[in-house]
Amino acid sequence: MRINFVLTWKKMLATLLGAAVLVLLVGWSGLVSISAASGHFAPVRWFLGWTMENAVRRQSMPVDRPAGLDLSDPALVLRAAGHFATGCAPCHAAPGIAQSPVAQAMTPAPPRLEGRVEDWDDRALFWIVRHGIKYSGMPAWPAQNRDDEVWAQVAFLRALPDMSAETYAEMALGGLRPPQLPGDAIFSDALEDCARCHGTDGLGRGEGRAKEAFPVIAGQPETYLYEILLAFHEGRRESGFMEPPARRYAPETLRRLAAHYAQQPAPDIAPVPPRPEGPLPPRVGQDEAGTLDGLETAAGFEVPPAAPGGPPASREALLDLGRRIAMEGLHARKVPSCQSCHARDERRNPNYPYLPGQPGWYVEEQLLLWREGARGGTGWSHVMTEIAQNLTRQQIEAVSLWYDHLREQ
Amino acid sequence: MILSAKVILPRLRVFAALLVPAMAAACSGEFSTLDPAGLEADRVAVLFWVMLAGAFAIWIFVIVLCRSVVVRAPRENSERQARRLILWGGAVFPGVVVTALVVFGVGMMPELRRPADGPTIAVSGERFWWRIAYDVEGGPGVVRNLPAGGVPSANEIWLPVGRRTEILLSSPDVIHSFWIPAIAGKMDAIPGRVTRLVVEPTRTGVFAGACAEYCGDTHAQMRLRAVVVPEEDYAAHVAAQAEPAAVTEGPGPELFLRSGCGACHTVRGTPADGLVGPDLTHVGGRSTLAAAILPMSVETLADFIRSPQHLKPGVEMPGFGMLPEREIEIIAEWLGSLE
Repeated sequence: MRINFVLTWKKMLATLLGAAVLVLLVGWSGLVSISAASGHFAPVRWFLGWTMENAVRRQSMPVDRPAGLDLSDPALVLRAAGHFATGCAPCHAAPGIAQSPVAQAMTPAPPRLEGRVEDWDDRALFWIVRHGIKYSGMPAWPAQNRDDEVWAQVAFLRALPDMSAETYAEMALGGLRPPQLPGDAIFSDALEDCARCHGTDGLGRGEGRAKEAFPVIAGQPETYLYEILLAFHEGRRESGFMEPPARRYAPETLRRLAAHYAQQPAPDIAPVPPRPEGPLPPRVGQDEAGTLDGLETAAGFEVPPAAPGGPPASREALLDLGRRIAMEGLHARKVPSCQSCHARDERRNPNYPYLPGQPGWYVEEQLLLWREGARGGTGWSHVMTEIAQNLTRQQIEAVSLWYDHLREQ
Repeated sequence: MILSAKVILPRLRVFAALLVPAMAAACSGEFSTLDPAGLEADRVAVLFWVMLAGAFAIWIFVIVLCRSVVVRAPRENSERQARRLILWGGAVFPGVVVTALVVFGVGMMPELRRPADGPTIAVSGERFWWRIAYDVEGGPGVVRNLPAGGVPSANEIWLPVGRRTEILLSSPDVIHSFWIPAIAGKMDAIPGRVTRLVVEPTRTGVFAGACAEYCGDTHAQMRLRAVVVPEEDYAAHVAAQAEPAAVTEGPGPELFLRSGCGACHTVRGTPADGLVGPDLTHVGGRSTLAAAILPMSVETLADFIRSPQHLKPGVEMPGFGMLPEREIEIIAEWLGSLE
């Protein structure tokens, strides 16, 4: 038999239209299998998995791993532990916790992660945590501008295979049970939720090298704590760690949480000297030959701002520059002193958080977010935008180091 | 529509009728370089009028020449005549005119280059305002950074009449240009260099200035006011500026400090000692706000605190509209009272 067929433009168009109508008819028929109960047909299962693995490996190739990132840093691991318990464990289970049959009944069923993280390199894990996987139930990271949080989560995943049930319980579920406080169950639950990371004392959990895993919220102004929780609650400040718990509770509960942490004693650090009174001595003067002084010290940072790496500086020089930025500011670079708003001082506006006592990484991360325009916050957060943008990378490093060194004393 | 002469000419006439008064208006007023109030501006104006008259005479001559060539009965010119015309009209005449202008112009210079005999004022062009320090120690050593000290102020520069005042210019950020058209020519303010401009105002009055080098978003609103007064008034003004603020106690300064304003602004007599923005010790005494673009009043002060971005897009000060309305009013009232 011979089929004589002449392909014309008309016929091609009719075929395309016919195919489209057919697809719509199939969808309209209501006969497509969307039941999760039956799982996938084996070849389809293979095809979907193969496609997903290829996509993750290919698309994670350009992921930029930050310089100096140490995924075995206990502070990084601890920072993401609390979020794992509420964000990941409900589906993926955790050491010492069996997987829920509810999760197992998903198609595809989410795997336990202990045996699976080995299959992926760091970039791929980062990509999966940040982007999620379409059609699988794996969500994207709620805050797309917070790569720092995603890397912390990757660090936790790397630590997961060797984690004992006891370690997991201690890190993610909180060894410290909050004391029974007067109040309703919602508030107790909420406080327990906070305490899993921040501790009931607000100083942050973790010992030794993990001591600095969390920003200090103890003894901060109540107004600031409430406003910033509200900003997380309403999505005005991005964070994959903080937005979910802040969203879980109503503003009244957030207000009580703010009051609780504002009343906790502030961290025990050496007293910060008051800012010098009166006009400051000029720092960059010149001798009669017209040579600038201060060029040989870290003060030189303010002279060649365009230098890609800035002049090399010792820890002492960096600390001196950090102290200057914090106490005096760099007025030629339009950077006011940090301490003029952020000192622990009752006379200041309670919308300004206190910085002494905060770990350096936190100060640095927030300044970098501001510099990129990705740090939302309360109705006051825009005040910092211009300041952070006027700071060079080295100046941010220096001032963060100075705040960090206050904790060591 | 076809753009024929019939269509264009009446429109041109309307345009000219509108343009001429507009241009004539520029001949006087606080911004005019043709209504001079300073020695240098005066010489520039003389030079302008002389050159304008000369250019007009030459223009008439060229038009007459063109007409004679086109309209007069064609008659063969000898090659000799043509060469002579080229020599006299194309070489000798321009040579004489340019030489005369050079002699005339250079002759003006010694007078304009005389050294200063008045005070030295440091002016720093900053995005987007002018930092002023009266009576600084100048001298030849000041070449890369403005000298420290002096009596700080901002955006309103007082000058003694009849004295040659030296203005030292620099900038911490980008290149600006200091220009008070009625008093003197422009001078750039360059980061890492100190440039000098000597001005000699010849009559008292208030004159407008502006930044004349594009410096960013709100460059067009980086204005300045020059107040020219007799010498004793200048000294009295500088002495008054050196005093601490008139009111340093009460709810105004308390709220100012509490809100963190002191991180960027200095109000002498209070702990506010920030050096990022303008010195506000005598802000209420200045006649304008926001680098001479708004009249000074408690209302404009409050508006500026509330939302500087609306009044001056691109300004570096963050808005403080999140402060309670009553607090903004108290701070504005206090600042307005600082004369």
